[in-house]
Amino acid sequence: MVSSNTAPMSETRDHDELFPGSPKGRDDVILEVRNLRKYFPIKSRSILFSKVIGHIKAVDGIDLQIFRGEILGLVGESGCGKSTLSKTIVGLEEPTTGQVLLNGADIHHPESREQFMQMRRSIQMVFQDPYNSLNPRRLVKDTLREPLLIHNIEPKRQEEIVLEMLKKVGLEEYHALRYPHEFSGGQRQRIGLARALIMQPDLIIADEPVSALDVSVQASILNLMQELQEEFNVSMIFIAHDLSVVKHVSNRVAVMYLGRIVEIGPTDEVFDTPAHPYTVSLLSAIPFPDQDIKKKKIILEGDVPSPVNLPTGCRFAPRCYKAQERCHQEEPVLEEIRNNVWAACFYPESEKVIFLEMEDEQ
Amino acid sequence: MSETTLKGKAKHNGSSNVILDVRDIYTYFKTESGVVKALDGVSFDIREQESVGIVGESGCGKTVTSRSILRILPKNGEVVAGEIYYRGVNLMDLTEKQMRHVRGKEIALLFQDPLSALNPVLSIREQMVDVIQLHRGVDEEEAANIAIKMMKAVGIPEAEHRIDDYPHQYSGGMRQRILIARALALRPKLLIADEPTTALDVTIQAQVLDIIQRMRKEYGLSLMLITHNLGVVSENTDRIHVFYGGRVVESGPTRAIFKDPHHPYTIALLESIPSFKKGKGKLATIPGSVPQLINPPKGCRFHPRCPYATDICKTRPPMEKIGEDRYVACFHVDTVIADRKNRLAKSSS
Repeated sequence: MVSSNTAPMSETRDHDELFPGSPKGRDDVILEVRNLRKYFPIKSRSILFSKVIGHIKAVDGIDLQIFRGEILGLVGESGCGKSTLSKTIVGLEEPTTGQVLLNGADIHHPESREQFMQMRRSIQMVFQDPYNSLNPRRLVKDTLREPLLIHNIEPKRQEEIVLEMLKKVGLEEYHALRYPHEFSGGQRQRIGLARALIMQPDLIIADEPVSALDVSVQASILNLMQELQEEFNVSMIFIAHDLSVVKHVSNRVAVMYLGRIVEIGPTDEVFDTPAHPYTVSLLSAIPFPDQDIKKKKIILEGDVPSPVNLPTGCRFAPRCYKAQERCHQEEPVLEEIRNNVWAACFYPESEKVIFLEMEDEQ
Repeated sequence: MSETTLKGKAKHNGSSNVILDVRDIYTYFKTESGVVKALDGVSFDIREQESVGIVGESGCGKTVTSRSILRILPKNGEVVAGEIYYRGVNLMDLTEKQMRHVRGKEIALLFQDPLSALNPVLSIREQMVDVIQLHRGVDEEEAANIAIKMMKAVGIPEAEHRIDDYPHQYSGGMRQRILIARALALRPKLLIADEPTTALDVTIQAQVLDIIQRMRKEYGLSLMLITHNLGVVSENTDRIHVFYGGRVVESGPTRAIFKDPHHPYTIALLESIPSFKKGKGKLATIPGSVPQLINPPKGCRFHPRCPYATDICKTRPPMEKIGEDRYVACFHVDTVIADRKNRLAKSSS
């Protein structure tokens, strides 16, 4: 797996450069995603001469930096590229173009076996489905010990670490000798968290970690994730479609639409006064349990367009309530709208558009 | 035909504007590991033109309720006791043949997964026209016209052409629209929507809910909306019934319950969801887990997880009226309400 071709070296990285949406004045970048594209070829169904007839542009030009100890919420509808982005970041997918740098080293082109192993330790994943992401035939202890074995941790220490980790995620020592089917969904997600944290990674990618859980269980897992994040000072990319959950856990949020980031900024800012019309519509579409939040309803027409035939100009223009002539011709890039809030839109909102009466409440 | 069936059978005369009156039903499932008491004495009602939410976590009996009403339980399940009155007629007394006139024509069901509810090898035309012909007694051409009209009403563009497409040619949101169109083409009086938007993206969910509400008003439908999403319930229903462990624990107007929940479970449930208004602090959690319905806790199903539980909670609490249209099944409801008031007063001062 060690790549022999000469990959771009970490020296090329400019340490002072901040990407759109990155908070100013921070220099503790953990992860840097540079102009990342991931296209999947579509082949014609001929047996002899199958040829590529198009591309699914799942991720189409993403620049992103993750800083130490921050939780970045990644939101967007199905098909917007959230999962492809996260898979490419962990190294499960090769990028079509662009780079993913973890602590300055290219994750897809490690310089040495050691660096490869190091990077694999530093980045971990928590999956959505706690039922399918644990091996049913393995004791919890063995599932948790696996990464320690791979990374040659002293055998004597291994058991200690496993038991310690179980306690940290709110399970007991005796749980180590059980199989996944003996646990509830919430407990399994605790095991998933233990597995991700056991190598003390720098970055965890959590892909919809609570969406398969009931609300009462969801709350305890969210609390636990926050506790652990603080204790380990790990950075996190938190992918979720439930915006209330994202608002609760994340410091920064990036909104994706058709393979691009359309808005990025501090969570409270973005959710309070969204700038991009897509963020506005997304927030407006979410049904809130709070009876006293009065919000404006904006119902988007049509479906998300296919990532094969992208609309020209702004990708969101065909569904946008503000679209003008220009939006159908030119594609907007991320620009700073307010302090640290960046949006890719020619006509961004600058005032509160949806939560009109929420402020009166506070 | 079903009209006459219903009239002839109408014995029960409840409150005049109640369309569905579920009275004390018990639905049990036989499984290898024992009898699962999925519904254990469930009572609630739905009024004419009302939108009612059935709320609860997985395994609380929401879906079993809708299947018990329509009598489409799996083979190992059975309604062992109780009555379900639909417009005065006990559905439990009807023959299977009479029941077929109720399903679809009187009470329509909308499923969670719109793809598996459509036959992939038949065009939309075939799937809609047959049903409309059968239930509305019209000829094929008229049925097709009705189908196209309904498809247009739910916002499917170029319905005249798209009716000949197959399910896979539609997106998830469009498929759910087709199902709504098909259900409403039969002019039912009650629509049971079982998690109708759970499989859809939020912007599409908003579209579908908007259509359901518009159609409900246009056709004067009653709606029974089953969902675990408290936001959806909050914005789309007039009244809710909160389910826990196969029973109803609290009923009342949606607004009142969200503002001022009375049952300890409802309170805990509402406090455990992250909200746009709450800060970043810890979320409230409910200790323990959802009860096993093979061997459920005695008495109040919630008592092992409830901070207010005492010995009396090991007997079953009756559903008691505690205000205008509000019912709660809890022995300690007075303490619970007082306690919550104190807490709110403290946090705001």
